[in-house]
Amino acid sequence: MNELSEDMARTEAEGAQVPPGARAHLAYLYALQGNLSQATALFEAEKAAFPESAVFVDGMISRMGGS
Amino acid sequence: MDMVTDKPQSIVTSMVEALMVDALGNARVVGFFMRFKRRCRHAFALSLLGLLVLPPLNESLDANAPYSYITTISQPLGEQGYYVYPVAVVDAFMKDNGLQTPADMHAVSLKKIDEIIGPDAVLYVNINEFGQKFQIISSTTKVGATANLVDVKTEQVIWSNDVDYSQPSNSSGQGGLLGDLISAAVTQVASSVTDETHDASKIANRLLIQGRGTGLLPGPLPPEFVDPKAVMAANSAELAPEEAAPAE
Repeated sequence: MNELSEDMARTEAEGAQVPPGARAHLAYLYALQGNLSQATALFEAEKAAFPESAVFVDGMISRMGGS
Repeated sequence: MDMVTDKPQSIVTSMVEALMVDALGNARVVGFFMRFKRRCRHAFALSLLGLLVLPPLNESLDANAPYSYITTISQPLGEQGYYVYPVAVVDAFMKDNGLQTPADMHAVSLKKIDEIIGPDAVLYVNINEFGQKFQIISSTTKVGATANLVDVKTEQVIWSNDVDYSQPSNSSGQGGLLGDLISAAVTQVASSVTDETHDASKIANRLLIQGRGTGLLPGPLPPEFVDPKAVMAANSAELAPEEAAPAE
């Protein structure tokens, strides 16, 4: 997970685009660990980068709040 | 960059176009369309953007096949310019909701998928063959799969393709029969420890999605991730077994 975060930070620093789904995947891993604020932030970032993921991401965020 | 200036065409026009290509059904014509479309990538891009890949149905004997396979399919799809929903998250999410097997997931209605996940199209994959076949002096790693892309709104199949990729082990032929036997035994032991099917499925998926002529049309995202070398390698890997065949 740390590796994935570092990898994504490096990609962003190089000015390239982080591949679709990567942020959401990391967000899910954070959610599993119980770090919901970090997870929400990453889900929002996924939605900002790829608006087409909105329905899915909003669903995930609302379910995270519920459970 | 050009993502801002290019407007994806309407779903109707792109559907008509996709149907036209299907109706012609001629590999050469389709190949021509593909090259033509690649050239005017954005003007002709299908307006499908979000693709949901469901965990594949497994008809092979390898129990690990679906998960080994699905980890290798996002990359070529992403490179082709589509948004791919994170496969692991989708899988875990569906399991949390009581859909334990890929068969259960494939049975979910498109309406429900549209409501909850909201993709433009769903990719249903069947794994027909997955694993290594050991022969006397060589082994072959085989990955075979069939994919159907279904439009969520119209519920029609808009693209389908299959791949049957086999990757022969390296047999030098220089050591004589005994040498071959020994090297084959070594390779077989080594490859039962380090599974080659994962690498083979990477190549198979590139062929499936980006293969010349039959691959998926480029999607609307800008082609920032495409690694032309990998695509070319996959396309030449497809030819390699046929070229090697007469030598035997």
